[in-house]
Amino acid sequence: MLDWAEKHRPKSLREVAGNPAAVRQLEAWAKVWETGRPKKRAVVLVGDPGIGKTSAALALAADFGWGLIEMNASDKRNKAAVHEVATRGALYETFTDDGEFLRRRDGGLKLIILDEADNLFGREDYGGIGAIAETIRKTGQPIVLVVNDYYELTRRSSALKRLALKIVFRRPRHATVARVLRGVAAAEGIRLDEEVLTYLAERSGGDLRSAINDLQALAAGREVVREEDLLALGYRDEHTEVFQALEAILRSGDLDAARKSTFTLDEDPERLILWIDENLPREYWNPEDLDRGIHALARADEFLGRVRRSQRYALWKYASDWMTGGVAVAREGSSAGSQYRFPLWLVKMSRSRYRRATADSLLGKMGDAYHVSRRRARLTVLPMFAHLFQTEEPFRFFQTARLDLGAREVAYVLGQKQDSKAVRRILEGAESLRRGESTVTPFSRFES
Amino acid sequence: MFSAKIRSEVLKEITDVISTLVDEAKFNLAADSLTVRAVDPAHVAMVDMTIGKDAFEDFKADEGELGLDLDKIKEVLRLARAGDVISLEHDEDRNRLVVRVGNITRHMALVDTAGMSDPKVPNLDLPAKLVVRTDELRQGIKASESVSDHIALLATPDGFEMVSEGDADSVRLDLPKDLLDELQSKEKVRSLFPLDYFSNMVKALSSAKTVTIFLGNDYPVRIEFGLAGDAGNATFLLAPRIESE
Repeated sequence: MLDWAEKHRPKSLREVAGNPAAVRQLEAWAKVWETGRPKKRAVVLVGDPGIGKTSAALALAADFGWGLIEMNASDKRNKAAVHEVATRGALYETFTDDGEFLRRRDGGLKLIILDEADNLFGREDYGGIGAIAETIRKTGQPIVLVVNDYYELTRRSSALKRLALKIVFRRPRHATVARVLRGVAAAEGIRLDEEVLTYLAERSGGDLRSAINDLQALAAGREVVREEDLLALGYRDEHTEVFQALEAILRSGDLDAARKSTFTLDEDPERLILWIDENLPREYWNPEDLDRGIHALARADEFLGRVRRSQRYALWKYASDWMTGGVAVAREGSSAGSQYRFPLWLVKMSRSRYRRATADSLLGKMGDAYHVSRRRARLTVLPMFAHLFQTEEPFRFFQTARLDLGAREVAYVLGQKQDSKAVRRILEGAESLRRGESTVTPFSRFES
Repeated sequence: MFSAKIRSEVLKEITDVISTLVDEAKFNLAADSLTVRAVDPAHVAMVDMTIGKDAFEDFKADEGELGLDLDKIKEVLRLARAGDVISLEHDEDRNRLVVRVGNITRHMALVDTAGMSDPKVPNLDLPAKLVVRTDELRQGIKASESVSDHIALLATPDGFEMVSEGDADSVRLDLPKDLLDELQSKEKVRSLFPLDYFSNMVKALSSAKTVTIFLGNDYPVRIEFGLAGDAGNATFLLAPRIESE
């Protein structure tokens, strides 16, 4: 079945939901292209997933009658691939998919869309970012980059900051999401309860694509979607439930209520403890209460540790009792009644995800080469390896080729940016070594 | 329904022409011919090819379409020896192509044609027409390859020129009127093209001794040639470089 989010994409910029300022900016930039070349030949559409960036780019091409070429995350996007498609498209005139010839001089342009341009990774896409920047410098056609994370893009090529106009898309308001959902439902011949509409719009947090996907899932095989259907499909808001549990644990002071609050909760103790740990200090303002509360959490954590080591999940119940009931009765004074927050630790872990994944794959490769575990590789191999890598050039080439390191990993060991000259040079050196075009012994200077 | 037998050289010729521009293509079938039209991923070139049933040793087809991965066809061609006849049959129940070469049978999953476009060949007003020998074109391309990555094609009332200008060097092939099989050009026309595409197109012509070229001013080039001993014909269209402002 066709994806509704795809099927109901806006056909024109006027239909793009929300973001009027961004749409106006995009349109103004495109108008300059009709008669000449804007100073910045590319735009970067920045914003959270599912809020209409790619849709706006597609609608732009439709409004202006431009041809269109797209490179998505599913396409290979290394240097050669970008040259073959985007660069070539950028320098030459256009045949559209329908076989129409468009000429620049007559306003016939093609829009080159690089979707998820902050997502070019690894050896697969090696050199892609550089090739994109080079394409923008030379292009005779308009180029749109679509990214979630502007920093991730410019971190790898700061030139893009100068070359491309940044246009920020914001999450549309709930009312806007609701309006879009109403439109999709009408087009599909589905009737919706107003409560369902409101619920889906709020749940989406402004992500139109996910809201439409939810609607499609809910409406499968129905003509009318009522509020009861939400429950039947097990839809609910994860965070509201956690907040209710937190309230029972931190505010009720009732051991039994605190324990029972988690029985229906869909969070395991490993995650729940993070929620409690984050919010306990906001709620227990009295130092003695806080001390006892933290102590109870520490006891819970001991049991979690035992479970991790022994894999005896039966022990989770003791961890749970300590972090719920134990924490609840630790407070003798009043509670502060503060706003609950999402665990900061989870936020930080998710922000450093990219770096940790790089370290992990690097340590895995070292582990294979030196026959040690990742943990041991981190403790014993990495410090020495990094030192030699930073000081001995032949060692760099040899090890990069031998361990098959990618740009991310080399950048990690070197402590440099991924698109830096140093990293590029090492990868090229390793590549020529691999192809047998040069030879090197890892410690040549000790051998003469 | 589709079932055919074809000599491996002919299948190679067909495959080479299409794979110049795309990796996957939609083959439109009719009772007496097979047609392929495609636009390349960068949207700067087009191919339009029709192969008559005479190019095949045997050809039976109803109206329909087949989506083929050309790399897979090339893999099969690597198994073929000179003069081998390859048999192709559409297994409709399982939606795959059964390919037999020698004692090898390969079942080939078809590519979904839903996302593939059906371009019409645009009507272009190209004032100059000339017929040139393929080996002369090859010579001109060979000379240009080390100099630049684009090539200008010019037609004048007196002849045809291929000019390639790099940063420091330039090279030019002159073919006066008497070296051409035909020349119609009332005035001078010139357009600039990507050399690698032009080169790949010319390389893909394995059996055509001559090609017909239509040219305009900052306008696409149209290259027409015969295939499979004139049982088929094909047209390449290539978009010009955007003129500098």
